[in-house]
Amino acid sequence: MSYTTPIRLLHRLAGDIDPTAWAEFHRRYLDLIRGFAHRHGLQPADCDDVAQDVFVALSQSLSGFQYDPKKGKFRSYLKTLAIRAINRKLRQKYERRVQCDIEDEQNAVTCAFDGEVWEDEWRQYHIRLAMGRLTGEFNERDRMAFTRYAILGQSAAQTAEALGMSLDQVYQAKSRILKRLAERIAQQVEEEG
Amino acid sequence: MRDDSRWFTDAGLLLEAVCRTSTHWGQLPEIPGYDELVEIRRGGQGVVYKGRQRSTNRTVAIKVLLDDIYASEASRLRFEQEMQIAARLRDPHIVRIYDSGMTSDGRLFYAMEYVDGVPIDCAGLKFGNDLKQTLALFAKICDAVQYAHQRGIIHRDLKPGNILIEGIPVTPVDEDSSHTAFDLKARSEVVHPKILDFGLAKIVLDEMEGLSALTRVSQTGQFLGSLAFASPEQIEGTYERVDTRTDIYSLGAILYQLLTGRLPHPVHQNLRRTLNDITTTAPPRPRSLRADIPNDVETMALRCLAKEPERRYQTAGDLAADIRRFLTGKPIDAKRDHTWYVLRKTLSRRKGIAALATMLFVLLAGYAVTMPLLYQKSQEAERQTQVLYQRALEAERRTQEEAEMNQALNSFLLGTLQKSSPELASSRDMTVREMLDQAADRLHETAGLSPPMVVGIQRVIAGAHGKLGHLDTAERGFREALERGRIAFGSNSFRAAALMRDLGEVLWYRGRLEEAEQLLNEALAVYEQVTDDDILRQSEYGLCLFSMAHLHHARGRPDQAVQCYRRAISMIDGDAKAQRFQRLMAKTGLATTLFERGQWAEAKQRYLEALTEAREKLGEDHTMVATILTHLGRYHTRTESFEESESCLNKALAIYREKLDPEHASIATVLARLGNLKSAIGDLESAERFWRDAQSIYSKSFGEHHEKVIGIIHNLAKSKERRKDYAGAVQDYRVVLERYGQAYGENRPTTALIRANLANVLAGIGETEQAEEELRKALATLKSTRPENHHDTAKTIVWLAWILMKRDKAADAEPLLHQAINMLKTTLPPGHSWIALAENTLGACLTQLNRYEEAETYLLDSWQVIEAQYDSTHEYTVKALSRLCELYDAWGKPEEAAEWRSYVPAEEELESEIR
Repeated sequence: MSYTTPIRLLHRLAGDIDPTAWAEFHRRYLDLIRGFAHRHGLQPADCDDVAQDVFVALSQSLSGFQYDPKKGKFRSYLKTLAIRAINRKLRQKYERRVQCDIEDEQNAVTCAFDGEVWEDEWRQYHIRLAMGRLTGEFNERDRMAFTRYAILGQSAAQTAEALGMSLDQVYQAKSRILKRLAERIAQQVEEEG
Repeated sequence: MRDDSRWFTDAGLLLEAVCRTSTHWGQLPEIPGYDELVEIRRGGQGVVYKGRQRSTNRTVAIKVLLDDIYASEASRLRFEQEMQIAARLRDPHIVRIYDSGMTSDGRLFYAMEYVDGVPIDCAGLKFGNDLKQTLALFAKICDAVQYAHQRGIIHRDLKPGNILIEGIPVTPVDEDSSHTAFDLKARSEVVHPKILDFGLAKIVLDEMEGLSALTRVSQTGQFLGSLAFASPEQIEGTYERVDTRTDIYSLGAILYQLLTGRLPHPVHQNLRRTLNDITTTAPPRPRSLRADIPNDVETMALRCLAKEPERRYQTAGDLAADIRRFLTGKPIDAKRDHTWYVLRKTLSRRKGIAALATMLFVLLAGYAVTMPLLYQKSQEAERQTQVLYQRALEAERRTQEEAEMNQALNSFLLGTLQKSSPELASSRDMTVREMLDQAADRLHETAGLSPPMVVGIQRVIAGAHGKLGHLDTAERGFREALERGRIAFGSNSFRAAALMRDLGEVLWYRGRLEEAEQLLNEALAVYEQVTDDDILRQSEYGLCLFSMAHLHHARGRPDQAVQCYRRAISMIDGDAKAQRFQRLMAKTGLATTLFERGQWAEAKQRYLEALTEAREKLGEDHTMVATILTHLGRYHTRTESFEESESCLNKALAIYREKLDPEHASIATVLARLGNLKSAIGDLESAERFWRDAQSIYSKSFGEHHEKVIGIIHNLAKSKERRKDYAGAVQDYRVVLERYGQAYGENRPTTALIRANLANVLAGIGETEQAEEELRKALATLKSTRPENHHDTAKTIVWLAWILMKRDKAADAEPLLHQAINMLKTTLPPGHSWIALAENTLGACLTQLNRYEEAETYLLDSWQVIEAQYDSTHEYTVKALSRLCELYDAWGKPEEAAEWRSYVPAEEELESEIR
């Protein structure tokens, strides 16, 4: 499967109408933005609103969009949009309303944004993307072995027995998959700009 | 911070991150009867896996739905039913559903035929390659859609992603243009379309019935891409209009894209405009995009894309037939209007009870003409026929009762009029109030009236008082009627419940919310006995829920309000005959609550629905239209669509001015909203003029102490503050404080907040002593009315400390600031900007106390947070910078001071920031 880099994807979004680009963009970044919003204390429905807000903001900023890597990383750009959207959401939620019909525009609430949280969500996003792209590269048994042994923490012996593999095969599955993951992610990060 | 930009190169770090990531590898669901799962797709509704069905050993695709899609038991049941229906479809071009059930962790799934194909828009089909082959393939898709329609199943979510093309080698999606060329002709024998998810979108969409397109889009996780294929009736959320012809529209959009490489309506601009385009604008003619598209083919595509379902092809079979006619060189059929269209046009002219006959007519005529095509419609019609029949019976019974009551009332009122005729003939006219009073007196004297009649007449009189604004008399009347009603009919009767609602509403108007709530709750308990088929009572129940919703809203319980509004609307909707006004009010009320809860898109949709309905049913210049426009205007102000806002408000004002007394409160409301609008766009002079006009009307209608009057003076105060008319602002704030205190009591959080605003202005004009006094009062109030550690209290403490610093009492300020910071830290997440702002103030305080090292720590730490959160020209940023400069100046470190000063934005930059 070919992989479209975020920058190219942005160009496709900004260029002529391309619904597949939107779908792809949405598919890729929805979980990331939701996850980020969720970790700032928003409820699932609010997280959806935030994601929606980010995509709309992006779509509006895209007319005539020329992504300029010199101006900053795409990651930071998306983060900025996400932070704004979350802040807007929080403001709406916290907006203190004086009981009479006073339209009080003060007291905007903003949330502290821990850079680590975004980085963590971003890493998870890369892992998800890479694992999705690697699915076809490894057979089912190897993937199961990786899941059980490396992720779920079962013992190598248990894993080997359950999947009818040798111990060595289990170890190899883990190291091979991790190695490919690292390569994939390195590529993704580089393409990301 | 450690440099971990290469986190993935360290196997340990990578693995740790993998374990924290919820990937499909780590979290494969357990699905009874299936194994060898591999994730193949992930979407807004769930995840699709490839897997093996153990019993048959076949490869299947399994869609596991997100666990929050089906919350209730009822919707799960419906899922099963829909699934069974969908599983009956057996067409070579429709993906088969094999099985459905629940994963071991309780999520719903369904297993379907595994298709190794690519979505039609990625398949490289393109007009340029071979139009005829493309059309032939498209006709196959139409056949499959027709097959399903004939079995009563509508897709509702046809889009390229749901049509897979099998037999095409996976062509990578070209990254710069969206399609690659593909020689279809050479492979046409082996290319099959396969439609996914037939009949299943319904389940998800039904869950969201009544929600706006925007909300639906975000809830299903679909985005702009698939929005382009949704029909106008889906965008508008008018679900009752969704039928087989909805799919025809989507087919048309797909055809349009195949022909032109474009969507009928561009979707990457403004979402609102996109939605608007789909519902109102005709797509560009395909031939304007590609001149070589044959005329007939263009006609076919555009016919599918007609806004009115009646104008589209009526069946997918018709569309397929026309395509085949074109392919064999015969004239196409696209321009003929369909029987159904004519039929509908005829039927829509009939109304009322005659609808029963009409419905039967639809049923019979529909069977003959369009039965197989409109299966779904006829089922609906059948249900509606039953509903209408029930309603007719009930109406007859009620009419008789009402007739008796009306007769009694008439003769009673006639008697009252006759009795008062000597006075009518006298020198002065009798007021309505006097007449009502006489009627009430006479009621007590008249013998022989049955208790139900007495109650009925009392209710009418009290209702009339209520409408005239004689709330105390109305309350007394309803109370008496209710007491009699309880005796005559029993407290648990519907009639008593109706009186409870009447009285509850009056109490609500009088601001006695608790009593009102008690009564409404009692009434609702009675209404809970209403059966589903008792439509008229359902409607009353709905009205009661509507009152309750209003009350929830007023008491600051938006969630409950929304719930009540929704239930109310669904119940009032059942009774098409009357209550149009209430239904519109309920819709508007719901929209307002949703709006204040932050669900803006849905709120807007609701407003627009109500507006359309009001305009259609009541006329363009009905006051209800103006009311909705007033709400919509406020919505637009808040969402910063100022032009729309002004247009709405001006239209509303024109209607009100024509229809209402010039001093009617509704006019004041529009004026106040216009003031808010002007204030929002910075035209403070106009804002204040509008507000003053509104204030004068409100004062006459409601008195000087009404919350609306106070609210407007508060707005005026803020506006003057912005204009730097501090003396005026102080004066207004004092008026607000005094009146608010008199109306609602001194010890309320709102009083404290107004005081804080006042203190802010006082401090601004150097009246620090008075400012301190006000803040101390505010603080005392907040401490006794807000929960412990409330951020309002903490912020007020910071404010007070700041004033103390201005008064050279930094030593007093310091402990206060520590206290406030601790309070904020207990309620807000670490790194919150308010904490940083408080710490920044503490830094400045420590500078004053000459404790420079401590001050530096606070000022630098808080600077980092403030800089990240606010623009460089924001007053907080500028203040934080100047505090750093002050520190280093005081500390005798001029170099540092100079460096920080270089970051301070120039004056002109600051000026431009201020509106």
